Amino acid sequence: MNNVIELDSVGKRYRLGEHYGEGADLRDTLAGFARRLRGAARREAQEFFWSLRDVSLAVEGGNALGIIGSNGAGKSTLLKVINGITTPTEGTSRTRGRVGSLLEVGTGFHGELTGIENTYLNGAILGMSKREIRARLDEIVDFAGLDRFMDTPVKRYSSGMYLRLGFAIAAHMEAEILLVDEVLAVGDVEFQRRCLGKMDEVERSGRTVLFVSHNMDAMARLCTTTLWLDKGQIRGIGPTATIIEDYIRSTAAESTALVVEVDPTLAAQVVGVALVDAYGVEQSVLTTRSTGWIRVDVAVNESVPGLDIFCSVQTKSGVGIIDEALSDRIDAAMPATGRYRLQCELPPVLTPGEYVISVWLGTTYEHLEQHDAVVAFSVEGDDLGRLHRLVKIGSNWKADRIDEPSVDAGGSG
Amino acid sequence: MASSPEHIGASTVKGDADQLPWIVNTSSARRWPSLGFGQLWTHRELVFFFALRDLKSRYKQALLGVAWAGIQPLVGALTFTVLFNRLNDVEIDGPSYFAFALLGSGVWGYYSSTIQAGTTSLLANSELLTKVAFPRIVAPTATFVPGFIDLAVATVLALVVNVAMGGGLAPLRLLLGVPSGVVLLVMAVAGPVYLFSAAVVKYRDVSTVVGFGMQFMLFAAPIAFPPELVPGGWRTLMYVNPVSGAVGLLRWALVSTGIPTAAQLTTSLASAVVVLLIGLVHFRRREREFADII
Repeated sequence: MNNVIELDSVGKRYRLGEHYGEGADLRDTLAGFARRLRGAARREAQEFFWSLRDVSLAVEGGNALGIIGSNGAGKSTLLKVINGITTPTEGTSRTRGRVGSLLEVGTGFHGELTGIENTYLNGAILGMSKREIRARLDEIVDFAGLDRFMDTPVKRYSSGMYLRLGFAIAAHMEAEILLVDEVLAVGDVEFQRRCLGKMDEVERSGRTVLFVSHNMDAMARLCTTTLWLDKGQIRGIGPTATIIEDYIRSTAAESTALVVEVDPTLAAQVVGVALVDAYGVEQSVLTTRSTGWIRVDVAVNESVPGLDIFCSVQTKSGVGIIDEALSDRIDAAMPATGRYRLQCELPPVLTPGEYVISVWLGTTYEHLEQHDAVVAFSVEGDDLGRLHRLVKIGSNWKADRIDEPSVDAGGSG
Repeated sequence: MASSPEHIGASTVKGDADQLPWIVNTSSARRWPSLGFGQLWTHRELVFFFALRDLKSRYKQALLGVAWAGIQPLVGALTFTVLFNRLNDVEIDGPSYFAFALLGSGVWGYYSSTIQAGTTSLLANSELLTKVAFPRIVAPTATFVPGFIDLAVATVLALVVNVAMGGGLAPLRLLLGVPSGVVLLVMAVAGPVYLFSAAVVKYRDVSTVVGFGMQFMLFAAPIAFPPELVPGGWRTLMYVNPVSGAVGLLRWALVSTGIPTAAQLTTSLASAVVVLLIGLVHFRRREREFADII
């Protein structure tokens, strides 16, 4: 009887197209009316999209539940319903205790206010009392490492400082339920390490963590149970390792290339992913000796400063082998609007087997898109009988003799 | 498919969450929602921080800073005095038309700027609205606060001018008139703010209409001129806008003019209460969809 989250046939419906409702302004309303007079597209405004449908769930206190699913599977909507940001269209969601979130670190900061002022403001927005914030202020400042900058307006902060302060505040809120959505996709390594550490700590203290991520390794480490959402419904729930394997197997359909239609409402999007050989020809099979290229086409519809992509390769059971960032090699590769073709070298290091390619698009502070296991390929060839390795590096060797060279080195004993 | 709840986790850890009450987020809306006063009280600190944010950001990087709070009503009062008192020989029953106009200008400044800021308060916080689950009613309510600085400055100026012109101080009037006038003034802005801020989430034009409306309303209330300038029947009608009652009470307390009649005050109070109730109910009914349509 110690559930802290209960969802009872929860559904959330959004309107497609004219998504502000029956009409965003008078002109839209009149235009819609004129269309109806002409008898055209009568039901156009009635197109709905169920972001969640018939989701029932009970989570006991003190557990970490992972949530996976492809883009648009309803993961963020689920968290928004649990958090109370949005109201379900059907069903009921109940939570017990304060719900904290690492969803939107630093949301609500005001540039003109100082670090201290923003700490109080942000804390109050998250539901902390003034007394609570005052009691934790030193800890927060310490954690953020911004001692000398707390009296500076945050508009003078670097984006990293901004993120650190936001995270420090959110992390010091005493919440019975902590929601974490893709924070591991943003920030630097140190920041990500802190996020993971904090989640560990929260879980150990008997509170509840809901963790949405595409980072399967982190999920396997933190969550014993994982929920798989697919098109707004629960596709599976169970031990994390099993669910991840099922998920990857299902998404890695035999597709050898991903093609997405351009959606001008997105700031930036991945419109194509394929594996190609050195001649630019699409391939689904590589040999252990051939170099491949992961080719990603990106449509930038509005300029996004710092836009970056990550290309990763996993085995079919979800073990990450390669994860490379565009920004490691090229700065500001996509500076303006337009279409870009980005190619990431895949050196001949993979051993024979089945693999999938995943692509992440975003900036240091914002997660835009993740395409899990969108392209499947296999590597063929022989690996000299060595079955217990994931990669063949072809390491260099050095051979030196380090005892006294004896006179007859080749002598038999 | 999943109609029976999936159950997670063995009952090994027993959190202290057991004693806490359930917070319910459900699809079925209540036809008559609570008015949200309880929420406002528990989140009064957040109201304060929102207000503080707006105040601080308003005066930062402004050369004259808080001095603007005095300049605005002075300029307004000068215009009213020249237009009505000097050019058209309008007289009042107090000693100084300028003090009378100063107070009117200050009250009007509060009324119009608060309603306009309040109307766009949800839009201004739209990022927060879609990402954090704070009580929605806090955002419009916080806009009632910053205007008090300007109002206080105008009030003190009016009082000083009035005394200098031989008006004298009446402690009892101050004690009765100032609090009741301020309460009526806040009620006068609260109703429209709740109503318009919720409406503007869906229809952005509302804020433009409110801007136009304010220009017209200035001359439909006894702000720049005394109520006696308007013939009998129309005079009572003016008090349907509660700002008329509020400015009357404040002038009675501060610049030695006569008190509005009981009928006029009742009209203002009743109208303020009715509009406030309509505004609150509308807001509470609509707030469930703010995050989805803003």
